[in-house]
Amino acid sequence: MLATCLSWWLGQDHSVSSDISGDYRIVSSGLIVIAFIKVRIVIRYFMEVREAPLALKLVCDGWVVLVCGAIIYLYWFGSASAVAVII
Amino acid sequence: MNTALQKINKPKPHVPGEVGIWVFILGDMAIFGLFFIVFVYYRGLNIDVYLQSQATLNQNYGAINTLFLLASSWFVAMAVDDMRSKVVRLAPHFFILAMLCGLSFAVVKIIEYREKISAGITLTTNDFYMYYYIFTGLHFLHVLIGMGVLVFLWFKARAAVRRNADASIAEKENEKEMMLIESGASYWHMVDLLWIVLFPLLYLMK
Repeated sequence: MLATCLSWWLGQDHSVSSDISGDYRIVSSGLIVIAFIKVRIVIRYFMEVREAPLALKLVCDGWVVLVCGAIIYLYWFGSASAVAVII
Repeated sequence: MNTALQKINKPKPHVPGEVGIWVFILGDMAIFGLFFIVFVYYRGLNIDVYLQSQATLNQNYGAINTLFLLASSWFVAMAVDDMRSKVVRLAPHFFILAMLCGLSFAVVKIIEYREKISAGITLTTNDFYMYYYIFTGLHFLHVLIGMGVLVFLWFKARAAVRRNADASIAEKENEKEMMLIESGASYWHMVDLLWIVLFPLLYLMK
């Protein structure tokens, strides 16, 4: 419950501070990373994947790393660079 | 000798719920993962439209809905924990609380949709809103199905409370029952985790 409130507070706080500081990119990236940390906590503890076979743990962690990494990469380096990497 | 003992004492890996439900959950997560990446990709191509449109969203609705789903997920985890104990007591209450949180999420979402539609903002307004309506709409569909799942789990939990005194229920029967409970719970947690990503992606990322 504490984690729930904390994450809400973080979401609120960051959205406000981003307006003040003007440096949105770091704050936005932080918010995405925090979201995926929360996702991993939900997967490990609520979905009980921490007790699951290794294969399921790896697939779940792979999803977290891949999707989070792709979002952060596209956010920082733009869509054009992604196309260049793929080509 | 020591390693043999360690092997015996180590809890056996356990898939929470049916293997089939995990195929579905991972498939769903893969699709939504692709949605998230597609969204950020097209956002990069037309950033001004996305930022202007995002500014019209109410962050408070998104934040409070994150809180509702996280709390709901926590209640479901507590209910599953209680269902595992020899004497089931609180699980039905936890499922009711989880359902109330899910219902609150739905009410907030409907209020948000109504506000947007009455302001003339629809699926065809621009790319941002197209993604907004498709992603949140699909997620909302998952929430509605999840509410049905929670009602089913609540019935199961009530039956378990009634069965408390009856020691004749075979262990195998209980195991099958737990498998169903865990499958439903895992689905609901997935609904929660998809929203955890949707919220910063649609409402906060500047």
